[in-house]
Amino acid sequence: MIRLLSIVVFVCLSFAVVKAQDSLQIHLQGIQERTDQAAAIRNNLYKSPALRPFQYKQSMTPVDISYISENKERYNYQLGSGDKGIKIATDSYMKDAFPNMTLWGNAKYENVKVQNLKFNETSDFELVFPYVIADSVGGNLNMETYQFSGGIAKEYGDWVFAGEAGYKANLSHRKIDPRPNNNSSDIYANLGLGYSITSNSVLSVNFGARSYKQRNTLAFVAEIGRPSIYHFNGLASYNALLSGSSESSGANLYAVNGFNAKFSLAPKNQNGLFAEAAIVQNTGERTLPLSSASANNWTDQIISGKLGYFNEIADLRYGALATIDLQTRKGSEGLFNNDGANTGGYTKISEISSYRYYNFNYNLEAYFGKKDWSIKPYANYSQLKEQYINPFREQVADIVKVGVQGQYLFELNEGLFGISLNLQKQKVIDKKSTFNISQGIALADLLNHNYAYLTSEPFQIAAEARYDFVLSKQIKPFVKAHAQTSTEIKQKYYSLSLGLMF
Amino acid sequence: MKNQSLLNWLYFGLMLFSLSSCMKDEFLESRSNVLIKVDNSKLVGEYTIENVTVQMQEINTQVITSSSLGTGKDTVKANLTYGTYTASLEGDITLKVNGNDKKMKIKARKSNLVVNSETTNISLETFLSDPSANFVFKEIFFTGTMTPEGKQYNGDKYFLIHNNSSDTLYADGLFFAQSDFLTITKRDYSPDIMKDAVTSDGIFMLPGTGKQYPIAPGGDFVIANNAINHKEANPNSIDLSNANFEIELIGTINIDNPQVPNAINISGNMLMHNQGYTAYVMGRLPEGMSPEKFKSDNAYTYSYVAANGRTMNFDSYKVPNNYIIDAVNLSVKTGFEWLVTAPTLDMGWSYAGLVKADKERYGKAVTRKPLGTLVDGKQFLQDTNNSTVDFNPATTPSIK
Repeated sequence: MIRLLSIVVFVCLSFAVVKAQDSLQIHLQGIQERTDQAAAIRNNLYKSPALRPFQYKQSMTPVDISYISENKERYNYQLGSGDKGIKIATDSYMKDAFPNMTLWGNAKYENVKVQNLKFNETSDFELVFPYVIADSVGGNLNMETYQFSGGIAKEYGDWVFAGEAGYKANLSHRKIDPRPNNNSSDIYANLGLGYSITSNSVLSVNFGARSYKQRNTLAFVAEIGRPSIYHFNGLASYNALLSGSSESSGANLYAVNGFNAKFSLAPKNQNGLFAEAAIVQNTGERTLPLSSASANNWTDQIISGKLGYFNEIADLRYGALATIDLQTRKGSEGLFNNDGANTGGYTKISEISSYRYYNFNYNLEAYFGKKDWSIKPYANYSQLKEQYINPFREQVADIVKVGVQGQYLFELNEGLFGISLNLQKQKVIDKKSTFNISQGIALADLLNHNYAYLTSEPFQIAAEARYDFVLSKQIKPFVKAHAQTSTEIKQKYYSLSLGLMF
Repeated sequence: MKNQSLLNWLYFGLMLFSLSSCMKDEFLESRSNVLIKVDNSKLVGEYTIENVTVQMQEINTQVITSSSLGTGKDTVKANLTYGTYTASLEGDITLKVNGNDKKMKIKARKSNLVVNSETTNISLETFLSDPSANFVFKEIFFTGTMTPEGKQYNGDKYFLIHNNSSDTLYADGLFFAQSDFLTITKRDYSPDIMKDAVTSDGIFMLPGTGKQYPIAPGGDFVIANNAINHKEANPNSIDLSNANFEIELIGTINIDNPQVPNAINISGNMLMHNQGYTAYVMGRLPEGMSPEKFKSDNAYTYSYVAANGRTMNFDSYKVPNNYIIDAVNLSVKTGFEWLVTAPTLDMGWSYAGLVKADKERYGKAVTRKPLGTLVDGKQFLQDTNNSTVDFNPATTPSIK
């Protein structure tokens, strides 16, 4: 696989050298803004509503349909061995659609099969973990996702007033036992205010809120061979009073509410100093069918900071960005008393704070190059620590990822051809685990398997080729192929996208 | 090597730069000082207790906290997180029974204990547990009654059987046998098999599929001769209409209550000796052994030489001692000659009548003595395999 990718990239690079030009035609500059990896670093910094007017120079509306196929031999059981399916997405950006007004919108539909999930029958794992409903059988999960969002930013002199709102729905199910049926909705809104403190610097503040809900049921048709259902509380610990039955008597309800605040200093023309401090905090609650009282509560907080500098001298572009993300999730679990004869159900009598998850990420990336090529070296250091109180369980991993990504863009038959190659090595510099669980049982296998995956040291190589061509001034189709492979975890990912740029 | 050294310095630098010290939040949990009082008030007689351990298991998290009871103390202290607990206690007890030491276990269990305040007081009432305990004869009413007219009344005899263990046991398949040999007449039976088996041709077995008739720890069940209300025919008699099983007697005296399951006769129709000159045993056939195979494997022909010199021959069955779980020798107070079971089964005997043909015996039973309590306050009965000390003789039947 690596050899094949290398050959493809080598051939493309050789071809590109022959065809390389110093500058791009004007009608391709909007495309380049959205495909250039150096531009992408900067564009991602301008996603706050009040900074949106400065995100792109060109208006554009890409629409694409993609087929993705992902297969992993070693993987996190609770996330599955890979997704297969289609994605249809559009991401519109209209600069000065009206005088001094920027509009943007996004719509996405995904229909994928999440393969070989185990010990997780709940959707949106990243948002609700570790409080998932689990069984040892699992299977493939059919997942549909709908997502819509839109926003507007209006400039009044030195001021920018902006707002956006979005909605995402996830419908997941399986048609064989065990049969989860999960419906989730996520609605959010952000407001932003920007002020130009110099001719090229804008100071912005953005606030947002979200409301998420999930209804999760698990049913069986077969009368025999049903696995036990566990309500996980962290690192495969579970509430023994509420778990163990193979009958799910109702819906598990999740509710997450959160806010975010972001303060940014950004150059309007994307050249100069960028600084940002942000906080995102979500509080979650899980309610199980046996009691109206919450079974779990958690708070997830991400404090992040960004500091970057970008510049262009003549046709040389360079820049660097340092980011830090400190994620802390603290969860508590309810303790219940089954005094059914007197109260008719499970009464919550206490709760203990029993779960901690820390994921601290330090990222440094830089780029340099010209209009048609760039090199992006990057390094990431992540510290992950996950603990459960009693029986004490812990997994700790300090991981370094070092990589370099190169990209070449060139004009080809009035179109823009881009290729990129990304090489990355992951190295575990410290790790430890304490699971305090009897070996040989499925839950021990889950913990040991996920820990082995977490602390693996794959070498990853990814390559992408994209060709945007021009049918008319308004319609610019493109085709994109992406392939990625990793050693050790034996992970393969392919995607093919067809799209139009309006 | 140089590259590796460079990498090590890089890692070291990363660790210095990192904020891992922010990963040290304490887990917060409310805790209670729990005082667990060990209540031995249901234990009787002279005893010593040692090695007492109390386990508190939180039922949500399954976390177990163990504490030991100090010597001479009656209270265990524990510091527990709030939650719902199941308490279980186990210890060793040495009881003085007729001057001898009997080693047993004491236990206690209490569930659904809510611990959600700064201090919590819990009391655990102990009970006795004998790991080897099984079903025992609790009461044998073998004498029958007299009618107001002074006539013998026979159909109201019964066995009261007790689950003397701390586990649910099943009555299904229990067999009962009455000895052929009489405790008031010692003979030289040949061949002599008494050290290995009990001789009986009056054997019946309780019906059931194996787990059809559960008996809770400390629970009783009644096997009646005729499971009817005998008071209707004899005001001096008792009401056995609520018996759990009834014996199928010979046709002339059998009154069947269709509401009560009949015992299955393996050999003969047991007619309980109304003077109590026999022994009774109960037990279980080995797994897979049918009554027919029992009879074919254990047919036994014995003989003795009578006073007139004639050799008397009899066909019967030997009930191997290792099938037997309890045995009671009965006799009269002043007429006893020998035990008709091996002493390993029973080293003593009990009685209802004082002398042979004692007319005062009617309406009297033999009843096993209580020794303490099992779980839920149910009786634990004395079982030293010596009916003389284990039973109270000539008692009033508990069934009215």
